[in-house]
Amino acid sequence: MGHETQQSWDSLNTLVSGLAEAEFGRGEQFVYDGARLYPEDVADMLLPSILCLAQGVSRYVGMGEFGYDYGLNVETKDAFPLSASPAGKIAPFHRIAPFVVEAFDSYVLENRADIARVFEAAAQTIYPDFTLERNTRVGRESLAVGVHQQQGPKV
Amino acid sequence: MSSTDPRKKQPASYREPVLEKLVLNDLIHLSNDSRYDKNVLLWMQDRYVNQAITENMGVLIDLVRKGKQEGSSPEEMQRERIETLVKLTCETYSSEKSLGRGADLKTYLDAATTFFEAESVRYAGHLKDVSEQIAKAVANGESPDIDRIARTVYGATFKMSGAIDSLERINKASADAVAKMMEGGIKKIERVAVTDVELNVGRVLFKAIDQISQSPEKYIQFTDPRRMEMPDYQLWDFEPVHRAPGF
Repeated sequence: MGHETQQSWDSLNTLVSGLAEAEFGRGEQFVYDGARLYPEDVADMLLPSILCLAQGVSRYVGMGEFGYDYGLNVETKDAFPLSASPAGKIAPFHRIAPFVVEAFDSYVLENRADIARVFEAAAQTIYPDFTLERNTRVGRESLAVGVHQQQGPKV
Repeated sequence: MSSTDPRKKQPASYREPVLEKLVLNDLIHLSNDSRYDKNVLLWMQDRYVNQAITENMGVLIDLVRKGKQEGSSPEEMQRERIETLVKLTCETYSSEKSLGRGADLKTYLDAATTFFEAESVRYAGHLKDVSEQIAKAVANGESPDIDRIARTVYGATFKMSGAIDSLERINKASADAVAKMMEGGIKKIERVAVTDVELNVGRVLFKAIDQISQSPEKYIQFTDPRRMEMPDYQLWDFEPVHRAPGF
């Protein structure tokens, strides 16, 4: 990741941490797998997913691409296997930020009781049939009884 | 390949205001005075544009939804989006101004300092990236892409020099800091470029930069911000993804 791209990424991370921090200040909590998260954890775990969702909003309203490619990476050690890789010219922070705020308000706050659902929503923008139950360990038992996934990797 | 061939001209960086034209009357008024840098004014405007987008995302989403329902063409939707965005920006500015957060000389000076500092940090980042690319190539016994690197280095240092000139008039300490940043970036490139005598990267690179500096317009798609005029375009010519202003 180039210097400028890294800087933009760090700024977006700070933005998401700040948004989560503000919610903490209002007494809200963010939960993953039954555990409460710190604001910086929310940003670390969800930034690629939020960016992916924000990209969808930006594209919908005709405000263009951010310059990232999104994909599911089964090899990753991150909490959620959705990656955002720079692919060419990265849009400047100020272009992306309003959409990150929108994605945070629309998806993260809505799913604060189980932030894995934010990842799920983002993954569905890549594989429309993706669900936590079908494509992740959450659905391990149902797979064991013969339910086959039609689309999207097992992550 | 002619001197106007875009393949010969590479932007090292660019700035990308959401609206490329000033639409706020206070800023248009300031832009008539040559002491005010138009890029800074556009950047100041962008703060209100982005606030308008953030606060009215639902309006923009509904606009697209309505356009799709009514079967509007992409051009019509784009035009309506920009007109809406301009309207929202003006309303946001009006509301901010009533709270004492409008644009004036003081906010301009603050914005200009931040703008040129931020620009310089970005260009210093380019110089750092360049030094890393050279170091990597030299370590592999390869010659780096001198042509591209020379354009980048020339462009970045030219932009930083412009920032230093502008800052000298409004904030000497910032101007000195940018000058130091630029010097550091160049020294770093010099250090890595001379490490392999056989490849002789340093000599070739600085010769290439010198050649560019003789007639930069041949090599770099360049707009001198101090001489930049407002682009002649319709308000709805809004294409942030493909636009590449700057140099």
